[in-house]
Amino acid sequence: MKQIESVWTPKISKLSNSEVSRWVRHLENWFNSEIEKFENGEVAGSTILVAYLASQALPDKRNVDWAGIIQEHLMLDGKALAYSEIYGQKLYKFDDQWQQFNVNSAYACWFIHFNEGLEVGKFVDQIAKKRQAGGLYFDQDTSPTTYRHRMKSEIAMSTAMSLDVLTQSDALPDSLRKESLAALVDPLAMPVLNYLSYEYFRSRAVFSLDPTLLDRQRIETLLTKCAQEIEFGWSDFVMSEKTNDYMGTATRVSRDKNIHSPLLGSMASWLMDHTCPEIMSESKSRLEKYVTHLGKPQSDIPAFKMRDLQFDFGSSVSGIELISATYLTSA
Amino acid sequence: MGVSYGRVNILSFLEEANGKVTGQVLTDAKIRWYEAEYDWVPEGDLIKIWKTSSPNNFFYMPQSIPLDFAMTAFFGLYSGDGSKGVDDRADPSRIRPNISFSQRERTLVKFALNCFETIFPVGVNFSFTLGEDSAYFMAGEGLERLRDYYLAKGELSWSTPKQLIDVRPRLDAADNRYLAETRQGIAGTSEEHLAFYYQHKSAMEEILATEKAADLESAGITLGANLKAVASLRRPFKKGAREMGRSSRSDELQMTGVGPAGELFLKIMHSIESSLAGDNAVSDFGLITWEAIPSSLGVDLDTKEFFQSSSWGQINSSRPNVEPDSPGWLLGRYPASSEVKLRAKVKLNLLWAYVSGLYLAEGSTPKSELFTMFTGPLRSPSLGFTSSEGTSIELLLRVLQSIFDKDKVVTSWKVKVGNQYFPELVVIGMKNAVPMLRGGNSGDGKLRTMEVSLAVKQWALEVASADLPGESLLSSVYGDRFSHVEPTGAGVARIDVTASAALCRWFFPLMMLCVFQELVDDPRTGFQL
Repeated sequence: MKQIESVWTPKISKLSNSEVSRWVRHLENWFNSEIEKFENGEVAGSTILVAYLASQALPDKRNVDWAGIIQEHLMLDGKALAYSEIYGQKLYKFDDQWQQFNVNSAYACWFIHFNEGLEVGKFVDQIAKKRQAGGLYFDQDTSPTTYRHRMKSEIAMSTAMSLDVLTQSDALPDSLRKESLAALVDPLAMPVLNYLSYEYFRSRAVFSLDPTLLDRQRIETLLTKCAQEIEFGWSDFVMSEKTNDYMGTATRVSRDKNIHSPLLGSMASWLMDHTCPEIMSESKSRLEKYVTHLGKPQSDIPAFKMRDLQFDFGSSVSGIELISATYLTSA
Repeated sequence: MGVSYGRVNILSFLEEANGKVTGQVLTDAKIRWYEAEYDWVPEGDLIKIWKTSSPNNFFYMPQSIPLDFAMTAFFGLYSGDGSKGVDDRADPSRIRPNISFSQRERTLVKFALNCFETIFPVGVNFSFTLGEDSAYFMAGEGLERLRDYYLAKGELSWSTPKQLIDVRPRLDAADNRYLAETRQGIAGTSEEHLAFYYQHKSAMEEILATEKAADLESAGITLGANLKAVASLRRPFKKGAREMGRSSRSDELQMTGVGPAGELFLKIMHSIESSLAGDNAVSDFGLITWEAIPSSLGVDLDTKEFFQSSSWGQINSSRPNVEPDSPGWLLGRYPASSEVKLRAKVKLNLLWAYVSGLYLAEGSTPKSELFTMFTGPLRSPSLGFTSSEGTSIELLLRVLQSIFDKDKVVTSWKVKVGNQYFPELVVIGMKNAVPMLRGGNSGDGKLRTMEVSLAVKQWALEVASADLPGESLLSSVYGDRFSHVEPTGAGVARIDVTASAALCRWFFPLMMLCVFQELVDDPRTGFQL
């Protein structure tokens, strides 16, 4: 059975009809809703990638003209756009700022074309141009923020996606490969941070260049830390360790609660394969419990709250979360 | 005292509620409760009040306080700039209210002082505190002031740095915490900075206290036994100032003698706000009573006549051209400004008064310009408001809609998120399969990642409508004018609303009229500037 793997998800293969769980039904509803939006021209690089991944997992065959949707809504001057014009209208006075040519949109278009056996050259070129001095890949053109103020998770994600494209397309000369690897493992360029997703993407990037340079200790520390504050699964960071960027002192977080995430669970499942036997065993045991929890009818995918306010601060259930929940509970 | 439209009925409230005061406060997305039990005894027109648990710690209030425009505006002002209290150490879900008021603008300070003296007429001492980061005195203007101070005293070797051990032989817990903190990008060590602080503390305090006293005198506030000016120096770079010479000033009006009054004062403020928000003539337990439903009380204003003849209705000594438009509407234009559509008749009611006070506290407009605009230019007109509480935004929008074309009231709105919550924004991005792309050189511009902004928008719409009986105006009328999330500052996520700048020249005179009409006859000369 064909399997596909992106940096966002573990290997996905088509589910059989007998594997239809509650999460699969949610994923199907989400997928159908997204396809409807695509019909109306409301497309983003992020949404089309996740919809494509969903289509590869959902049991029923889906005939979608992915390349056609991309061509019609996400291409401009031969490059992949982050947002279609219709999508860009969802924010007021965003004007033409929706015309962003980002790493994640180039990755999305490359991934779909690559797995559909279509020509990918223009996306590989677009990604190659995102290389910055020092060997990392990120959207300096879209976001001119200085390196010091950029979210390091952004750099890790963008570099992981870029290297996935370039290594699979055999488009990364050895000298550039070495420079990128040096940056990824350099503690100044890519500092040691206690964010699970950051380490996941950084490690994926390192793994694509030289698996022997994975920092096992770092991974083990994070898998333990990010399991501390929640009953099931993993959080992305340790709430109680938040510090003020400026003073390095602890911030007041007593009213903030951490959340688990199936996406983080699937990231953890990749990371734990690169740990010592003891941590691997502990982590796999925790993963099993998490899967059991996700399998219960009343379990949910939570969103953050802003202190005492009851409303969801940001997303709870999303396409990539549903894919992760589906993958975890059917694996 | 102006026309009274209602009353704060303190004595009857205490009797009706058996002295029990309890309620909730929502500030900075924190919900905290408060509670107090009072005893009291009438003494003439006043009431002597104390907490049951502490009979020797009492304060006085009038049996009832008239609510005119000024007093109503004061509670709006306090709602914005006033302290609500601190977390109870044993129970962070509980707030221990205190009464103090943060405001630098001297006319507003005087206004607040007058109102406090009406509410607490006896036995209260006021201190006006000028707080500053001592980093201000390390370079630039602050260093020059320090030099002038020492030279005037003949102390020529003042600038020779002393060792921390000499100026502060015994460090306390706060000193040790300071030394343990790191401060990125600042020359010198924490030890050197702390030594500077202690070496020059007395001098810095005297400089600031003298400045504050002069400032207050110029506003007609005469210091004395129960009115003092004091300085409060923060250790260098502790909060706000991140460079030597930079100022991070905070001014407060603090009171002693009203410690136990915190819960009762909060209750009064909330009851006024809720009665206006709900348009109720009577609040809970009759604490607030209005002559009629609040929206019907006030002054009927002929807009054209106001802007063409009232001493309050002018900007920079010039008046606008105002012509009839469609029935019930006018078109007005100030010189060198855009045309604005406004209602021919406006009811300046108590909601106007409350919101005027609130806007004076929390609005984006520089306060000093509001007092000079009648005879001088309005240099950078802007009409914006930031809050993490939906009710405040709703009340402002209601007032603006009562005079302006609703389409012009909100040009756009956004959500600002402080760096404490950046990790959450990253996870939100990740849940949408995107990295968080910041904007601007320092990363505090418009977030480039649409998915994250859209994900937070729904939260903001729900916050805007929370505690309201129906959907908020921000959600129902302006929901589609959400522009972006802006990662900036340090604190909790808050909604930032921007109205058309052209409305400033019309709204501000009315706002100032609502607050100060009973205190100042002519705004061109009546504010001590």
